[in-house]
Amino acid sequence: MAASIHLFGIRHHGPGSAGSLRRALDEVQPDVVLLEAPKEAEPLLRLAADPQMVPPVALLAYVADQPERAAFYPFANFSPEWVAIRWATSQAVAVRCIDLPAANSLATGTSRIPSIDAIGQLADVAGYDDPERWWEDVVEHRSGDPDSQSISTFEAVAEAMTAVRAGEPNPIGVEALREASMRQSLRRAQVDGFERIAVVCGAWHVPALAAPLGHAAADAALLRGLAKVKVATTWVPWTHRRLANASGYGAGVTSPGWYAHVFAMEGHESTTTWFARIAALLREHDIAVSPDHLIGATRLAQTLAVMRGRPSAGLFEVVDAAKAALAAGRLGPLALIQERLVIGDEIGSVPASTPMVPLARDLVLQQKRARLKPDAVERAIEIDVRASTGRVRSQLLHRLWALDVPWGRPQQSRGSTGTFRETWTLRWEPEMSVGLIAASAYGATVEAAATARIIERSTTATALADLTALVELALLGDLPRAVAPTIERLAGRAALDADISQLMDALAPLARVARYGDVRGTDASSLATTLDGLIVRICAGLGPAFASLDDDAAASAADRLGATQAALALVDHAARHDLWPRALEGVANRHGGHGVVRGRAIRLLVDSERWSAEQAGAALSRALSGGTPAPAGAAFVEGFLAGSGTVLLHDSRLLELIDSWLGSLDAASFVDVVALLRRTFGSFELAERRQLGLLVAGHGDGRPPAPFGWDIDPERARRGLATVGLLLGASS
Amino acid sequence: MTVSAHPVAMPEQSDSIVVLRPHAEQQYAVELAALAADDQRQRPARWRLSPAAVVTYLLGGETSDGMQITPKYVGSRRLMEVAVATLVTDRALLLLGIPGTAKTWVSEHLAAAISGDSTLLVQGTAGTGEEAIRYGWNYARLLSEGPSEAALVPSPVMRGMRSGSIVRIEELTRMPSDVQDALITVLSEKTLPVPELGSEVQAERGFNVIATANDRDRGVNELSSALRRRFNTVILPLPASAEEEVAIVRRRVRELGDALQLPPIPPAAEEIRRVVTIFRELRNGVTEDGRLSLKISSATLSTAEVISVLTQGVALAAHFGNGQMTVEDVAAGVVGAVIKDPIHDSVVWREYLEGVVRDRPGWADFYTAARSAADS
Repeated sequence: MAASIHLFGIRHHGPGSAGSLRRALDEVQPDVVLLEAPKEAEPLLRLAADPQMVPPVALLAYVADQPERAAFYPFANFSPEWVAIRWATSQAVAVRCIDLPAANSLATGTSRIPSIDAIGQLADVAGYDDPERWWEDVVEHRSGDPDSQSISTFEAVAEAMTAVRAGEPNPIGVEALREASMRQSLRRAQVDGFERIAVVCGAWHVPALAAPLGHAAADAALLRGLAKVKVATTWVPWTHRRLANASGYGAGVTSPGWYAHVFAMEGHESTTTWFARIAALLREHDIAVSPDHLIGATRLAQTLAVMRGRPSAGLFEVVDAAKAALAAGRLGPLALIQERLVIGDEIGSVPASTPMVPLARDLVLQQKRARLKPDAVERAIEIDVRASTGRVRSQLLHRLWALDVPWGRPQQSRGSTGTFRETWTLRWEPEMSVGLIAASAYGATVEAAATARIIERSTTATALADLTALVELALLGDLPRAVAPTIERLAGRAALDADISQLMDALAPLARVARYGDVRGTDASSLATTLDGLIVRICAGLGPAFASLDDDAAASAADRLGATQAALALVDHAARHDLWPRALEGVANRHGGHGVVRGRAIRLLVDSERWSAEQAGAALSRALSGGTPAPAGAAFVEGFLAGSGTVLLHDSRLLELIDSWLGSLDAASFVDVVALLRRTFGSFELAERRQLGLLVAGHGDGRPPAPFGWDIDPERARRGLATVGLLLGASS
Repeated sequence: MTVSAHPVAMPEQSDSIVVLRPHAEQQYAVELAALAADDQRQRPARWRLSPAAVVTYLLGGETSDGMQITPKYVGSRRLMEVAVATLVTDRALLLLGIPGTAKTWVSEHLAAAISGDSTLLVQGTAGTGEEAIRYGWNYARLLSEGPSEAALVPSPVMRGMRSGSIVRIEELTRMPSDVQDALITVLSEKTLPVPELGSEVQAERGFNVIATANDRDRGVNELSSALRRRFNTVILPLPASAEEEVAIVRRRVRELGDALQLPPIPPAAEEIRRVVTIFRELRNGVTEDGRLSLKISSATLSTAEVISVLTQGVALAAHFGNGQMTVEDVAAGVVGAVIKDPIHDSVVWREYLEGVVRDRPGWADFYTAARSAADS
């Protein structure tokens, strides 16, 4: 007896297709279900019945020893394929996967996105500019009506697809292989004696599987001798967000949250419940939404649907109604609704018995070695990298950071700049397991994956600061294989980069790493050459770069000068003695340079004892002479003092210079500069200010005034006593 | 505090119209009649057209017997559908947007298409009183006869409620808040109580309110949340692309030229494009290719300004020139539109002129014309 074959062409991740499919399966009661999924997935399908398996989940197929070659096949609650799987497992009906095995498709490395948009063509013909809307109107929304024959929907789809494909050339390449594989499996099912065969595949493939199937020999010839690799498969949790980002198999879906809602509310009023959920979400974010708003929005959505001739309100109608009625046109609430509801925050989970990806397995091992348990509760830990456990922990957390799995977030160490102490905040979120899965495309172990990821990021990074951060990360995570290429790229970028400020910003962290590298036992010898190159370039380009700056740029430039000097001191570089001071002198002596920058350069020269106090005093007096406008002089003072008045306390000559300059200002100029000077002097330490005040109030010869003591000035005391006597009414 | 009292008398024929600017229902009477005859869909009570036909009228299209409907609003279809759908429900419609984005235009055409009458208009100003929303009194009669129905002078809102038509309120946010709140009862209970007579006016089916408001000006009175709740808001955006804006401008300049009886000089397409580009760049603060960022002028540089600059150029060319619109005709208008604040905007304009216009290929003539316009 010939088997009866039912072809159910579905739209991937379409809730209406899913509902129709379930009703159709109930009607037909097949004894085998053929699913468009790679053959290797068959043994894993029994896990789908496990109650711990909660969609969205994905099937992961990867090359066994090269996990970076992988393919994902996501399923959501509302995916018709998932509905088919659940139906079959609940009815104890066999499920066979009939698509091209992953062993073949991963061997060639071709993408699986179908090249022809059949739905789009049909929608075009029907006059819709959006294929999703067309499919919704024609198939999805109609399926909510229980009177409609589910099977006839699929027959109509089959007819439409046949008509579309009649005009297309025969498929070639991977498409042809896949359809050949599907046909072979269909023949095998017929031969195996099944009576009612249900085929669940993408609507586009239905005409290829319709009778007559043609010669088996042609298909067998196509499938003979294909390249194979060893492939492993497993289930992994997935998120709605990644479903919306259209990665993996077939076309992504842009509104998984909406589809999940429609599927859950099947047959019932989905519009009002949707708006109720929007109201709950907006109220959480302190946006007032009253029941009247909801009534207005529902009515508007339904009216829009009627006006547009649609059987019920779809996503566009509810979005428009929410925008007009709930959000009063503001975009903020809309973005919130889009993110949290239309796309949704759902994360799936897989049973504990699923085989793990190699990276996840390695992570468990590493977590044991580091004695760190993943915990959903947030906690802070302090790590001392001098200890071996501490070092292991620090490396693990840095490596995960490089993989974009932020299990630990680094906190700034309290106060101490010694780099053997680190503070991290640890928190494990379910999203991270998905991130780990995606990162498994980079390698089988945490170390290998982190190395690959850093190298990849270094190829795409353009800013020097990003590259420096990557070098730091590679060194902190102890990834020697990533260090060399990243440093090379950094050096190359530095050679091309004309922006001195970026070079100076990159210098400080590199110096830090170079200096403290020995503490961590990392090898940073290649860093030294890069550092040299950087320093040479900085010194060469300092003059012209700092020539003409406005106020904001000058302030940051002065800070950069200080940071560079500190970095040079940290590594005790040879340039400290010659190259760098000469560059500073060039900046200090430059006419027309901004006062803050020049003042800071002079200060740095004095601090490093390259210039004596006399030279500094001469420069200061030139800068504060009558010819310079008062604000320029005040800027000079600000740059020179650099946030601390210590130099004034110890050098009375400089104090006198500034003092006399201040005294020489006339009223108008003083008013001009008082705000600037107040800002400068206000940033000093309280003790310094007090001492400065005492100094200035003293006799002007640098001697501190006498503290309270027993030597009294009789003249001044007599005058005071007279006044006291007057107050007390005593006769003098 | 003017209240539009009587509709303008209907002109006999379109080519001997004596008024400067006919109402939408007069100017497009032919189209409206054609759409009404062709419309088979269900119409809400007292609506002249079905909602779908109203959208066709606004966005342009074709009737079944081939008559072309000109587009009145060039922009997103979904926005217009939301606006019309709102008027079907019991909520009122609030059109927001910066000046020059066709809010008043859309509101006039909506009222014309739905009720056939766009003259029930309340103009909101800082001095608008309650009489504009509710009712006033014929004081002579009031004093002689006492309060009576005959002594009442109904506002457009009251007249709209009685006849089941669309009422338009312009510049809702410029009205004082206590006058705005007089609308709350009207919109929620659809009744207007008249306490002096102990009676009320209940709205007939087909009554609704279209309000426009401008969110950019100073001196606006924000709507209270109780009032805001009674409106569905539609924000009309500026044209998204330069092509859209050029299309709008071209059509409107031609229509305005006809209305002002200027000789039909088609402004050169490149002139339109040039002015549109200048205004878009100064509006967005960045050049079209995104390379250079610019200071933003304090003037509102919306599509309406482009239209008026080009219309002025056409007028100059027609009456003072040789019939061909030249660069000089346009340049003076552009400078005048961009520079509203003499100190800040002249800096902006000068930077733009020297930084962008001077180096653009093919704009040399505009550069010289603008320099001389700015100097004179």
